[in-house]
Amino acid sequence: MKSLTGKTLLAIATLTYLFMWVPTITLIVFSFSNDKLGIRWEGFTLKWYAEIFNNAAVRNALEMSLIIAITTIVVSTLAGTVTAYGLYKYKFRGKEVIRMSLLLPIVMPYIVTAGALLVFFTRVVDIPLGYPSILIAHISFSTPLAVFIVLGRMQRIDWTLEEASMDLGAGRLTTWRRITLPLLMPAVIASAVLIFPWSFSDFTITFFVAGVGNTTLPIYVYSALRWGETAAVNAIGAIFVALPLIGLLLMNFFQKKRVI
Amino acid sequence: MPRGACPERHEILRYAQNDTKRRAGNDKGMFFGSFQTAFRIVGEMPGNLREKIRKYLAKQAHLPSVGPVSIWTILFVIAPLGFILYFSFLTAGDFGQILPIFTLENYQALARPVVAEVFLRTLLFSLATTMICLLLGYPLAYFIVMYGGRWRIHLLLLVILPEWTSYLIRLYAIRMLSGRAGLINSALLSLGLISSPLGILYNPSAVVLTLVYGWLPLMVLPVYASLVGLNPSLLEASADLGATPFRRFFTVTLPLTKGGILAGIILVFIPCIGDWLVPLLMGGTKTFMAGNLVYLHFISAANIPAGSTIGVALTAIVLIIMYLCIKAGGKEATERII
Amino acid sequence: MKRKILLIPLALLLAISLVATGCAPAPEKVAYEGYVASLPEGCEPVPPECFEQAIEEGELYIYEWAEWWPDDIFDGFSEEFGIEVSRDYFASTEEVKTKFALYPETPYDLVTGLGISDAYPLQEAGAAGQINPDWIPNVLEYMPEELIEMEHDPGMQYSVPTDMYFTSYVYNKELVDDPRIPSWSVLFEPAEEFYGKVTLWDEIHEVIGAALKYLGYDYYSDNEAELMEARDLLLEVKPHLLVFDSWPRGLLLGDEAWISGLWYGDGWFLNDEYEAIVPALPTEGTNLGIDLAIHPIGSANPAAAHLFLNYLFRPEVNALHIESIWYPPVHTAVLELLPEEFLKVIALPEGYLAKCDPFDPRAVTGRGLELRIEIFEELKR
Repeated sequence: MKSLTGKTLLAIATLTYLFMWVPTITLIVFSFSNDKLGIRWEGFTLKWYAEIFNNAAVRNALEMSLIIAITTIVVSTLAGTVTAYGLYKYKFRGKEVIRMSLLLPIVMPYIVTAGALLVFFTRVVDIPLGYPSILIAHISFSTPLAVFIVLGRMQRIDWTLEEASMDLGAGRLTTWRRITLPLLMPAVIASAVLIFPWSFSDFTITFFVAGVGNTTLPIYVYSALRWGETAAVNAIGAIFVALPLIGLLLMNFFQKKRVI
Repeated sequence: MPRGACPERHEILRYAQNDTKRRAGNDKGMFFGSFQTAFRIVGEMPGNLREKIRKYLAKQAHLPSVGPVSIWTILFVIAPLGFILYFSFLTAGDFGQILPIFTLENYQALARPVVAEVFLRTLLFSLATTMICLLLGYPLAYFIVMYGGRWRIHLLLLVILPEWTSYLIRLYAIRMLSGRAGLINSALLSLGLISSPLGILYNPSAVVLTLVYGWLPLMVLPVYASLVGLNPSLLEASADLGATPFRRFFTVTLPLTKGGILAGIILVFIPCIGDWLVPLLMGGTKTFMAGNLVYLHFISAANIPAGSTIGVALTAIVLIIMYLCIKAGGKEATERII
Repeated sequence: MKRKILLIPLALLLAISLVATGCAPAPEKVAYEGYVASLPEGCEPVPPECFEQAIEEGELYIYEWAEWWPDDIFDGFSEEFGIEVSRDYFASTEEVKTKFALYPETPYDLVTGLGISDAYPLQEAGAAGQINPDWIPNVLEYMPEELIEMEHDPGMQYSVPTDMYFTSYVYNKELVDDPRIPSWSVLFEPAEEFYGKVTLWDEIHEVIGAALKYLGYDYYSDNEAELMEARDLLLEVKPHLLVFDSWPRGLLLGDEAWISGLWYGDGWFLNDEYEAIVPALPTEGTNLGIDLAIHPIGSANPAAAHLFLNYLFRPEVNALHIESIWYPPVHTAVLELLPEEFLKVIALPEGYLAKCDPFDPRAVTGRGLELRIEIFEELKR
């Protein structure tokens, strides 16, 4: 890194990392600050955490967000894996059409999708706004993510293993369970890890299609945010930052253990 | 129709009669019974017909795996979009109603100067965001690939992780940091660099910078992937041929990572075009974007047809841009998007 | 081992969600006699069938402004009757209007805090359910006659007034020294030194209504020439604005905004938090807004909703409500219960109410609405 190019690169990289991390780190630090607005340091306190955990509205919102995210993960990874398998294994007419239409939910502007779903649920089909509408919206979004991640993995794994297993007399289902699925598992986990933060943090779409009693954590944050800064929101934000971090550290930890 | 004029009908009748006789002794209920009947009819069909059906079924072997998600997509992705398109041709009532009266007025209204101004601004902001993301993201990805060594994956994770935190929370963090009494201003004040707090928020550059903050990781990832995929021997070859590092970069590296760059451009540009939260929370009075215009008509004015029309126009723009990028970037760009 | 990797974060999340849920013990049922006997003096009990049904329903779904009404009211109600109260929050009443317009059967039991210009379209869209006059004896007991017989809803059939609001503005008295205070001109024609320190609501009716009022017209006018004049005024002030924000609390507390269009009650609310911020009651007059509670037709717990309205109109509960939101009350017997400092909120200049325009549906229908949306779009672009 002695060259001028190297130094310039290092400088740009450092600045960019700072740009990406200073806001969230400040948020976490100030969530321990004794300042009412949560924008400056006034001494250490845990009271904002106590406040949010004693706040029934926040607890309900957290629970709501977790239920939705976990259901979405389970359904989407399952459906995504099966679909990716079909897309990879078979040749058929309209395959490209399916792939392209799976891209749609990813590239559509959120606000348009959100509005479309709201009108669709209320005016076209009679799906009650609430868990059903939120889950449908989240699954429609997350399944394509899982499909593409698993599909990417399929293009790289050694399929002769599957054939070998069948040649050795294992049934189609056994082969799936014992050979194919373990091969795909890293991609399935990767999609779950990706879908969780997406579903857990989504605001725009959930906000539009939410029904009675569906204040998720992002919706709660939004109403608090419109209200101006409060220290308690910093504490909620710290949870949002910490959750994926904890998940990642745990995964890392267990992967290392397995190596040993 | 005289008897015998339709031989197929005769055959089918015969199968059905045989079947009714057998069923009398072995009734398994309506549902299961009819399945059995179906199988039996297929089983007793003449050989060539059976062969055709089997072939047809073999061709449809993908259906159990691909079918459910396709149906789901048609029901909950394509149908809602179709209805938005349909509603954009209808008339709005006073209290949020959608009156079934066909009109082209909503589309004619797209010609009003407000729409042009807002859409142009949206494109401009998105373009600026994408360019800044590229200028920051490419060197970062390059740095990680070239100098990351065994820390590569960790450095990459540091890029991805912010993306996993709620967008809204990250916007909140920026607001907290950049307010008049926020950390940036108080730091600058105490360093003596400024004498009175800067108004960082509520202007166009605040919107663009926040968008960069929001979507930068999506630029780094595909560029990183295509840099890693580069064949180092190509670089060596060009170095052997006497190319300076600078020249080497522009003649070899950059063209070879075109796919990754275009994928990054799509990934950043598209969410920017549809964004409405950043202008709402960081913007001032001159940062109204297309997403906000959709919100204004859809929610504030409860005019579903007008909101739908703007939504349709916005979607069309996004799809066109994506098509152009994919066309320019070829297969690699398409693959890297995912 | 691989399978565990996936399970552990999931298990962790499940554990968190279980801890978060906790478990609330089922409250005991309350008897009608006990309720009647424990009613504060002067309050009217609801009829037995309403009471029994409300207890039977056991839950109440409320849709309200975030961070506005105090928790104590809902907790108190829940505790007294064993009815579980669930609250959802909205960040703007326009959002409520649209959701109900699209789906009038949305099953909330009560929607509170709707300004009259949002409640009226909701009523017209058929989303407001009938209120049973026999089930709200305590509301009728303390409701002024004029508010029961309002033109848009005679006999209080579809909505119940809960408090009043004036569209007004606030200024920071330590930073803003302008002899024109409390005229609207401070807001709409700010002095040069305050450029970039002024905010306006992000709401169609407030922005345009206030501008009309400053120009000397009716707050709810649908006259095209008048509205165009208001548009020109707003477009002229736009370059000097900091932002459109309906609730610029953070900006005002951080001295970022010095003059802000705000509802009068919220002005006093902020004054309580930061005494440099003072509400101004515009000399030119303003609107006479009524905040309403709606009982949507999709409600599954009508008796609980009626019981809650009665509870809200107990003088001491209403005092709690008014005291924490700082809005002028509609309740006829709450004044003596309010703290002395509250007098400033309700002490209006002599004859001020005559300068305030009552709601007129022309602003939210037909041409009046169309022009307002056009102007607002022009303003925000």
